[in-house]
Amino acid sequence: MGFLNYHPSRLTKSFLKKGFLTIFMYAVGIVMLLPFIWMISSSLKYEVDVFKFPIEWIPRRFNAVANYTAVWAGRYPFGMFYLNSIKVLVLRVTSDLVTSALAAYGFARLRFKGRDVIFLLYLGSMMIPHQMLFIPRFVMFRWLGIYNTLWAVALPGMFTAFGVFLLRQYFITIPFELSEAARIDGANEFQIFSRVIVPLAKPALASLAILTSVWSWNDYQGPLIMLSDIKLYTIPLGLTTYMDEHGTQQVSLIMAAATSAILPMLLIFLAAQKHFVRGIATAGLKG
Amino acid sequence: MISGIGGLRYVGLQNYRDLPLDVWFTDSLKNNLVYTLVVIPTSLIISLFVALVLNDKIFAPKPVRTMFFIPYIANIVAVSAVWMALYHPKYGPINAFLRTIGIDNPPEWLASTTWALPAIMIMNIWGGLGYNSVIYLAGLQTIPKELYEAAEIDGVNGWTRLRHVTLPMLTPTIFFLLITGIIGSFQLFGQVNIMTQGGPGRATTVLAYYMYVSGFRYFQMGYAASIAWVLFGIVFIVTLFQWRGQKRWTEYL
Amino acid sequence: MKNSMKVALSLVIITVLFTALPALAIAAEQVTTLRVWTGLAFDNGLPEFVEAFEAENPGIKVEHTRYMNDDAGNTKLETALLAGEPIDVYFSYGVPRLAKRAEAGLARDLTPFLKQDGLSVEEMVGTDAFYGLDGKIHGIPAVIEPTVIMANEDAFIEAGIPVPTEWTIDEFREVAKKLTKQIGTKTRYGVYGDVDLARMGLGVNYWYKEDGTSNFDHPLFRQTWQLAYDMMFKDKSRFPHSEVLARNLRVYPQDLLINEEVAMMVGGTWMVSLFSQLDRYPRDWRIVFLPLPVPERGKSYFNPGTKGQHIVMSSKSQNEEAAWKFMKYWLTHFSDYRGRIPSWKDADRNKAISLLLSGRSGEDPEKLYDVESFHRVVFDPSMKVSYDTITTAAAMIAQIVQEETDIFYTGGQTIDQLVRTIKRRADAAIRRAR
Repeated sequence: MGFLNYHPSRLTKSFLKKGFLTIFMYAVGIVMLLPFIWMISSSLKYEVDVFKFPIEWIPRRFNAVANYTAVWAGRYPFGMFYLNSIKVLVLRVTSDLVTSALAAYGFARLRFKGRDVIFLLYLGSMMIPHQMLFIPRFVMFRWLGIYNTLWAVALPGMFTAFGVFLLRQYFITIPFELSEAARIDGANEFQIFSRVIVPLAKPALASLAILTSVWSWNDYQGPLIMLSDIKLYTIPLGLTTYMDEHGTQQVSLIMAAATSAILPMLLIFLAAQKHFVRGIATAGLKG
Repeated sequence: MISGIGGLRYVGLQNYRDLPLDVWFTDSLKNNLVYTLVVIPTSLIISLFVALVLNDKIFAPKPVRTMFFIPYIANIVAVSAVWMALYHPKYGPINAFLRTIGIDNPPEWLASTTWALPAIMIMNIWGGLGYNSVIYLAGLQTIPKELYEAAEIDGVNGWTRLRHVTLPMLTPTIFFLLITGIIGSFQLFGQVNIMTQGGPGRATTVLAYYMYVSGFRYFQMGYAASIAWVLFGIVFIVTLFQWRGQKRWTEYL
Repeated sequence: MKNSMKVALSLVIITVLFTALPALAIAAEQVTTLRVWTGLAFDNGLPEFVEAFEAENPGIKVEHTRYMNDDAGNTKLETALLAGEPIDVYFSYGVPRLAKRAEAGLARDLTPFLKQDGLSVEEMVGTDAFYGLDGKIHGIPAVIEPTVIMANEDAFIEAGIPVPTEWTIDEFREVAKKLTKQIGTKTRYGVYGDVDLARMGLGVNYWYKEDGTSNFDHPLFRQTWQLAYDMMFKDKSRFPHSEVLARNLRVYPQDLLINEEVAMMVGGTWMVSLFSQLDRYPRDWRIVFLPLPVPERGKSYFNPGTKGQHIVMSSKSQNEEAAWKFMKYWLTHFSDYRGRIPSWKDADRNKAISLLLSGRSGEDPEKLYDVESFHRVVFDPSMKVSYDTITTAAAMIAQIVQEETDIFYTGGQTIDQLVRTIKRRADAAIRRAR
């Protein structure tokens, strides 16, 4: 850096500019979150106060307990939807991690004929708009007899090309010397996989786990088509049922339900941002 | 096709010939195109600026990045529920606000044939900003510092630096976002199904929605499948173009 | 334990958990379980009805599911039926939907069941209803739903207008205008709902011409739509369509009357059973009933209402006998538990009416309604309900009309374009369906 930059007024000017931009961006950030702030705020209000304008960001009178009890203990127990969503999530994430890791290992660390062609096919499959697959899946699952079970929702997410892609990109960056060393010590492929690669790939695995969790939790169209029994509904569907029941007459309740639906993912995201962002970034960079 | 595999009737290309005559199909296609042409460029440009600012022009950028990102992890039903309330023509806060700044007849948003699609577009630009910015940021961070320093020494700054150093280095990222953005925009479904059901009239019907409706409401699985193929075809062609373009235009060091 | 073992073990555990649990549930099933899907809003009356049925029929359990009677909800029902879900009995609202489901093979022909019990629908319900395609019986309408106007009596008193016992369209428009006013920040519109002049004038199969094309170039259709438009935009006395869309009011608009957002509501008598629930719909004024306004005094018209809420047996039901028992029980007794006007001859109509008017909490009907007007309007002996026997492409045509009028009522096209477009598309739909 040249000495020019240490000229006093230049320094202050750039400092000020940075400071101003910071404040500006934080303000924009808050504006971005306004819909959610409104949502939470409305969920705490009496119905009649929801649409008062100017907006009462902090409610003057609170109806939170009543609203949230109505959502959680009312006609459509939210707890049931949570349970279903969790079941699907656990199934999808564990299966995806395991299968993708195994496949990625194959693509990244082993050599076999046609390896790169098959990998390209995997990549290609990611480009298929997933709506295309719904009708064939519907017919297939119906024939298999798993329509209207949680399997129909979980299965498509249990083996993903994206997982394979993400992990493979990461596995490639692990120095081959390490596998060589292990091989010399007499380890077989599977042991190299589990003892060397997996521990080193923890960050990538964490990213994949989080990404898959969020996508599983938020999956809407899949359950919409595959589930008809309300007892099996996952959160997104449960929320729509809730909205249908109460229409536009009970916005505060719907907002309470929506807040409840988003909360888990929000918390997970805030706690594990690093992994999440890194996962997306990796996908973006290597894409 | 409802009766299972055994009940398949071969109608040949009849389904495809019916498509252009079907006003639902043509309107869906039109809406998809309008949507993509508006949302993708706008989104990419705004996110780029956000990323540039967040990269090194402010203090403590991480919380801001988080704030921008949150809409992406919220599920689509919840987000639709909130925006439906916000967009309410009579009581919603958006129109209430517009009225206070002097707009007497604010648009009726989801209840208007002209404003329903824009309403969804605004919602999705908002929702996609965080995701796009994060990817840009990652891309920006791969630009070697030496390049910037060299530019500095040459006295290049500001806009020029943007055009001649930053952007060219970002082209892979931009292309990635373009491709995934376009593929994603053709998959628009959730908001339409929840907020407008393709309406009012046909103002917000899109291909993915029409596919769902024709398959599951009118029991025309074969027809729905042909729509699916058209969707795939469009995405494929676009991707192909970009792939070629990418080979020619991006710079790899 | 080695890592790989751990992974494998957890996979096995998870798989076992998810497959074993449902299996345990199935093992517990000893009785016949009937699965019934209805669109009934709110449970009132349904649980008690189910209890009574189960008491009389030990060995049959009834599981009822509610689906929302809008487009999305109906699609859900159809997807479930399509996929072969174990649904035994379901309700179908509106002839176009029933016709579509019958065409898709989702409804079982009830003729053998009726024969076996020596019943005939013409006798038990009447000849003025739609039962099914090709002479089969795909569904039996459970109620008679004439279309009437329910109005806020106080609104009339306040405006100094005597409640008419019959009126023309022009008089109707005048009254609607007079009843529209601002209450605080809210507007109370004169009226909500359509006066379907075309249906009133043409009655049976009004969408179809003799030659097989659609009938939408008939002037009465144009009049209907123009009337709705004028009342919304010129008179400003009709609840605006844009708000119907924004607030999703197409299926359950009855709140508007009670919230005093409209003074008159054009609707079906099913709303009355809801209005009788004072705890949900509190008010201190009476509802008075008026007949629909007519184009010309003295001429006879159809009532756009129909015999509807068809009870249908799913074609894939495995429990036909039990299902049929349930269906007969419903037709005869459900009106004992929830107010409506049953169409089945054996049902206790008087009991039904008193339940309808006094609600389950046993209010005094005279406090809630102008009972005399109820009987006079709803049971007008000269009333003819509409029905359809032709249903070609009915579901598509219904969708076309809804869509195009949506565009028209939100200012997206002119009346000429509306009529032309509907006619053209309906004709195309009919042709394609042949």
